[in-house]
Amino acid sequence: VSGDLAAGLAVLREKFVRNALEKLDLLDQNLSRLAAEPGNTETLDRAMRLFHSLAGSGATYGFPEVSHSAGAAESLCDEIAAARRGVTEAEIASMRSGVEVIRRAFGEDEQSEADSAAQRILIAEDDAGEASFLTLVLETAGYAVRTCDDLTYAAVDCADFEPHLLLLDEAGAARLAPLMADHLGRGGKVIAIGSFAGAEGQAPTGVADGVKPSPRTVLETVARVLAQ
Amino acid sequence: MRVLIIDDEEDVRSVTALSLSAVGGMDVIEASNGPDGLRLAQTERPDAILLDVMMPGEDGITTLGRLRESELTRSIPVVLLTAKAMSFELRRLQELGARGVLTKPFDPMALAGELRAILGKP
Repeated sequence: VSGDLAAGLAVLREKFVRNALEKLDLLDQNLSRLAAEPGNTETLDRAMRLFHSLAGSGATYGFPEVSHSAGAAESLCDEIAAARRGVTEAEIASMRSGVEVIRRAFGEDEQSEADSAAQRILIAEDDAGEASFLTLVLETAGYAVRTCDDLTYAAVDCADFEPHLLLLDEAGAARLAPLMADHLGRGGKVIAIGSFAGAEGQAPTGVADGVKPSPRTVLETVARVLAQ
Repeated sequence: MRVLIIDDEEDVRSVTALSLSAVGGMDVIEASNGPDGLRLAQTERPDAILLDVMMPGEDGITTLGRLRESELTRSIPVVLLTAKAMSFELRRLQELGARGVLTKPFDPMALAGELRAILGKP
């Protein structure tokens, strides 16, 4: 019986870690948003639920420090929500520390170092399927990728992540790209994500450095624009 | 013994189901939210329900109320699963009609025994 449990747990644990790392990425985004909007109760609630999820399952999967740190951060979120006040900088710093403790528990510190050496790409796209496809292709090619599904917060995520390249939903490109230019990494570029049927290579004038023309040429376009 | 797990977290449902089946030899059915859990409870009539407290939408307390209201499910013992283990909260949850409360995170090796102990089914 314990053998069955151990074998089953090993499989579930791998999946748990993958899910948890995605939650940590979401927490990074939400904490950046809270730093920009300390009184945003929806963002605070999202962060609290993410911490709650990690707190409730970490130790069950053999990561007691995950439950401990996430539980402390969840309680802090709970306290702030109950007091109906904004989050302070010190509290955000404390939550970020909790996230880092959890990340280290998963051995993610090495991955973070690798990510910092890789070229960073932020995908600001509200179409989940499109964002997932681009993330898969670009991460497989060795880029460090972060996604943002709410264009309202793209500038905040851009400031936090400092990407070398921004893949930006064409619908928001004209409005947002100039606002985010200051936050791109040194020499940062912008590619507008348009229809796959769109004209190849025709970037919106004065806004983007290129357009993603088709699924098969995503990597070529990204490499070309980064090299410009 | 047949147990219905109602929890929105797939990571928790999976490990709970594994623990109850592999260690406790129980049959397990699962639902990811309160309304689906209520429907499954009414059609499948499990021997016990393990119900998460903090779920988006209809939370565990609301779901517990609906289970107690339904003639088909009111006699099924419900054990709440919660990450909040303050003693006054545990008392409040039991006063709402729960047979007992188990806390998260739990030990997968011990969960089935703890559930049986609460249900009085060694």
